[in-house]
Amino acid sequence: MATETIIWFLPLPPLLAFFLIVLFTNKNKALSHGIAVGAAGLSWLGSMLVFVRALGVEEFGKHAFESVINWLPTGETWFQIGVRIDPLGAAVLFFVAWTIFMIFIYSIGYHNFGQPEGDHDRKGLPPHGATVTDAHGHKHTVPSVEPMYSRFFAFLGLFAFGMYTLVVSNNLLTLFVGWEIMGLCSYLLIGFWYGKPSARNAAIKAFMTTRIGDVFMLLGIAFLYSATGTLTFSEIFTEEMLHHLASISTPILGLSGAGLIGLLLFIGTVGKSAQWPLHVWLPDAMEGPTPVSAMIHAATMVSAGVYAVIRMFPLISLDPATMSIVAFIGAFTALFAATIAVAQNDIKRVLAYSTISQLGYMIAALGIGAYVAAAFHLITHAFFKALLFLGSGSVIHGMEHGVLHTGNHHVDPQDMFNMGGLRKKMPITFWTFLIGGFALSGFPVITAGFWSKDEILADAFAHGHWAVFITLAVAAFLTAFYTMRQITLTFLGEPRTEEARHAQETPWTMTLPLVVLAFFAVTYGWVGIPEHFPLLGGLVPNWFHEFVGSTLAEHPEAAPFSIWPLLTSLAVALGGLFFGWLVYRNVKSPAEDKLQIPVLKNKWYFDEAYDFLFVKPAYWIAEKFTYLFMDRAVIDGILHVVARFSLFLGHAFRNYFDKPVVNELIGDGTGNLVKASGRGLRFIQTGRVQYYMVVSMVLLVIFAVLYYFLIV
Amino acid sequence: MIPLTYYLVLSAILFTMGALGVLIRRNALVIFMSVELMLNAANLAFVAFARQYNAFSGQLFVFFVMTVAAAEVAVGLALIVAIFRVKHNIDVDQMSSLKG
Amino acid sequence: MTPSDLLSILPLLVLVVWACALLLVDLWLKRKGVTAFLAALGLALTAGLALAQAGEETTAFGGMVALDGFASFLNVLFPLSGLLGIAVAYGYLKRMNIERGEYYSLLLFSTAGMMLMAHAADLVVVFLALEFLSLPLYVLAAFARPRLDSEEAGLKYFLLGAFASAFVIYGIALIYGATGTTSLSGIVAAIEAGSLGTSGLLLTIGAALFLVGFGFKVAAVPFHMWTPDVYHGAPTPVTAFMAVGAKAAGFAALLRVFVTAFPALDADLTPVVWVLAALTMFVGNVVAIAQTNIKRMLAYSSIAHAGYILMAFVAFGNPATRADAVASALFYLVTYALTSYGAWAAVIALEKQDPSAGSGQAASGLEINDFAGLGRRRPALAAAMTVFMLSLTGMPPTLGLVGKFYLFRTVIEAGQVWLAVIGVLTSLISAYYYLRVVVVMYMREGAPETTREPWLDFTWAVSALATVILSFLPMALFAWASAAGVMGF
Repeated sequence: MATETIIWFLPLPPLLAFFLIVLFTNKNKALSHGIAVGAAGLSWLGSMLVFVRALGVEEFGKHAFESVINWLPTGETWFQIGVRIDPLGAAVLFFVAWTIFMIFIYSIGYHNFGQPEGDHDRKGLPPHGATVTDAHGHKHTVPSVEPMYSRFFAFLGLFAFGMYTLVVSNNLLTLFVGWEIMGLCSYLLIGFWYGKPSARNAAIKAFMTTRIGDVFMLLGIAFLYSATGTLTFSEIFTEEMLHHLASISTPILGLSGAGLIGLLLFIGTVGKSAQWPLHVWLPDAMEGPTPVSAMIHAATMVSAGVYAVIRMFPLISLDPATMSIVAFIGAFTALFAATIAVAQNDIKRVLAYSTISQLGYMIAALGIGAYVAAAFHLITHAFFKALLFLGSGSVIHGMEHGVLHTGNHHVDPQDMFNMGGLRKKMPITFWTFLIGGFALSGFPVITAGFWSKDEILADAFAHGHWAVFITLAVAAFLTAFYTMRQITLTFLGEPRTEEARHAQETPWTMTLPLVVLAFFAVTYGWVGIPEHFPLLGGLVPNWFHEFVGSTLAEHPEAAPFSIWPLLTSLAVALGGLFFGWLVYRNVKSPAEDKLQIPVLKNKWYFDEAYDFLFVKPAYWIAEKFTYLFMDRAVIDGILHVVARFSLFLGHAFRNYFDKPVVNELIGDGTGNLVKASGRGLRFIQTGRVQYYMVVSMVLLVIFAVLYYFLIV
Repeated sequence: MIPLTYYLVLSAILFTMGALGVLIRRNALVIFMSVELMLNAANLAFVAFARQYNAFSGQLFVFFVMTVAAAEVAVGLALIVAIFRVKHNIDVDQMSSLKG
Repeated sequence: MTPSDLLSILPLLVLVVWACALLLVDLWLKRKGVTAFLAALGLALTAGLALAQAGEETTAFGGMVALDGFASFLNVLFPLSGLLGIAVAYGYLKRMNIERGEYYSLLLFSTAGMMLMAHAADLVVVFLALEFLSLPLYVLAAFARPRLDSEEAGLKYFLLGAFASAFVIYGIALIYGATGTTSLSGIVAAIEAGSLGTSGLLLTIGAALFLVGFGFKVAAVPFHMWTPDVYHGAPTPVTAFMAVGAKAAGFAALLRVFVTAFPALDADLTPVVWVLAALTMFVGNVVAIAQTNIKRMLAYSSIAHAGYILMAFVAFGNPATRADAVASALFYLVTYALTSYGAWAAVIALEKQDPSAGSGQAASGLEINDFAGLGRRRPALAAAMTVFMLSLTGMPPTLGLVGKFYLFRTVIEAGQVWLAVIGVLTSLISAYYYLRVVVVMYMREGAPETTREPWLDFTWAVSALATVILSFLPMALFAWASAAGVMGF
């Protein structure tokens, strides 16, 4: 099959799976996950095929796979849509296919497939466990299967469709369609356990917050289309078109047309990738099932936001002002979220803030023009962050097992202070989590995170972006610190609770994805080792830089090697890890934790601030101003006057005009009129065939006469 | 020689009579006959025009129409017989169970 | 008659021969499933042959028959609609105890008539094709004998059909009188020669009578009143086949004749067609609101859709938009065919023989209220029905939207803005009764009894999928329709 054809078909299997499950196999759990995993596997297979073929193409950047079709005729020309896989697309496709496939498999185990139905599980709430009696007559509480198991896989399928659509798109319109489908799925999946009020609120918060970004993005797309008449990447990124865009001037902030469009599109990313100041939804989104957190809120959807900026880089980079904004927001978010992560006790929330921080890294990298480094970090991060989330899900799962065993439901299985010593109970989870954590911290040489983070720092250093360099270095230190804190609290030392003592390793469907992702969390870094790195440089060619860099018209220069950023990144990674271990090896409870500073614990009071700044005023305006003042006082006042007058008029009309004229001639309003005429005309239909002919003929004659007098 | 107009007027009269018959008569058989009258009005017009143009095509057309008319009658009579078996009546006014 | 003449109508010939053979073979076949299969095979073969002819442009039989993009487009559409007509009928006939082999032969004959209509380049052939496709349909409408409603439908259809044929033939006679020829190209030549004189009036009257006759056939208001009764009484698969095939064939003839032969009558006839289209859209949609029976509702809906297609005709005399008009009308026909077959299949799935009633009584399960609770009982079927209702209304993400979009655009480009406005307003009205079905299916409690038959399920499932998928990828179909919009001679 032609590669382009395969690309066209990539998004379809998950969509088909969605429909099949919703329409037909909803009741059959095994069939549902079979279809979903099969579909994900099919797309994965196709993606790998495309990726391998892409590797085989000489100068792939210039000969990307692209296929367009005429979609809608717009007057003389056609609006075209199509698919395109260029080096950047191929690299992204690679990690998207892997993570999605792994997470599909993981979900089978996570939702306790094969376990009995719960005693009193209800739809919309997480399963509570089931009681089984074994051969000796002992009663055990075991995990119970998710009540809405099939529905979960259907949503995952729809989500995967959105992500694949976004990646293979060659234009902003279908990219945006995929983007919005993912937004919808994110909403549905965060609120998957809609029985919990917190999940409902989180879903709404996520949807509303990202929507703010999307509106701006749509504005940007509309502006772009009106300025250029096209939304296809390859047509926008031509020299003349970019020049034309850069030469438009706009009234806003003195930005050029390109800058303004870039900024608007970037705001879409700020919402989608949870950058400050629209970051508030992502931590709350942890209410969703863990595979959702891993897939949507670590590996794919939030990455899609960064991907969109990378995609639009040639446009955004035209205006230095926009680039400064991007760099500032990225660097600030990276540091700011890292500080919050330090003080969180919920295992998933630490990772959520870590994700925000790491996405900030990529955005900052883009803001300083480090195109390849941003893409590189995007991919390595997707692997190790998906790994960490799945690992945390595995931990929670193991802890829940302990909770079911002891029956003490007051123990929060997500609180790290309730854990400890899990390395012995859950060895596979421990080792893979350790790999993921080290990758996130940038543990030197072995892990992928080191190479990608180092490249960003090197780029910032080489181009003299000191503020960004220092901010990111501090953030990197904090990252290593909170990661080690997490690992120490969770896995090292001795179990701090009875539940942790009874935690259990999870089934293979959950550990297999962990192992696969751990593999990539280590090895993916080796494809991007800088050429002049001491000892290792040049052993393996810097394939990633060559490959992804060729996406741009001008091949970006790799940053010249310097020892300082390397030393910095070694120092912050190892230092952070060491201090993290040192501080937390003996901490037993939150009270002993010195870093439970209120401002960090409360996430810099952003939720409260937004509540105070936006939510409360909105309520106040709605209640006091709009309702009491505007509605009741002003408008009602006017209305009362008008009403009295119209009442008077109305009476007059009613008595002297309506009753005799309107009521008898026309009826009550248009709706009734239509219905009445429907009914009226219906009675003409007497069922007598000759009557029909007569009516037709009479009307024909009337028409003929009218025609004769009016027209001839 | 009789002018063309005469034929045409006669044909129009036949057509109108046929149409009125279809509209007014209640017996299905009579309605059929009226339809035949309308078809034959057309036939007359064809023949008259063919003569005026001195062309055969119009006269040939008449044969087609007659064949079709025969086929129509066959189907129509079959329908009437089928209905007569159930209702013992071929008054088209009685056939108004489908309405509204 | 030369071999090349025969070759140019090969699909049609194959189908006719096949239908005759089937009629004979059926006598020895005990299992009617075999007959159905053979009939389907014949139609598939025909469709394949017609597809192979795509792109050919020729005339045959001394210019009486044309093979061009228009003909080959419709010659694929008709056998396919016949195939669906068999798919929805097979289980139904069994269930209703009217399984007789003639159904399939008659359907094949009628399909052949429709295909001949698509080829017609001469008014004589138009008339012959009209009778060829109608006569089997009269019989099919009465096929559920001795059920009285079916027989009544058959007789009504027959009487109206014969009446309309008389108008058509008289119209043709007058056109012949005015121009001295019945071939479409000859008529154009005669008009262009400008030697008509007083015969010009004769021509206009002839064309008007022709329009009246076909107005009956395509159920344009005010010649529409037979439609609900006949659609209601006829066995539902026949109704589906009539609603799609017969209507499409009627429009094929109208398109062919008006666009190729009568552009000169533009000034005289455009206002007439304008009024016809507007009235048809309005009356069809408004009366549909008051219906409680789903078959009657869909019948009025089919009238309304005839109105939309008529809109495309208003611009038949404008050379700039002519090709677009034909293309968008054909595109809309396909849209309507697909959606309406699906909707009828859903109706058939709910229809059942009323055990309490006597042999003369109608089937039950045909009220709109009988769809209550379908969303729970048969989620897939209800979802498909929702797709069809959305498509008939013209809402995304369905093919109906795309079809309406092209149609309205053509109408506006032709300068008929007000007609387009009426079209949009009436489709808003139509949302009321289409969406009511959706509301009933999902929001009302009920326990509808439905039938599961593989071919029936196949029909609605495929129609629903195609309706959605084609709405995203309409370009191939539109390109093909555009190619068919340029008529061969």
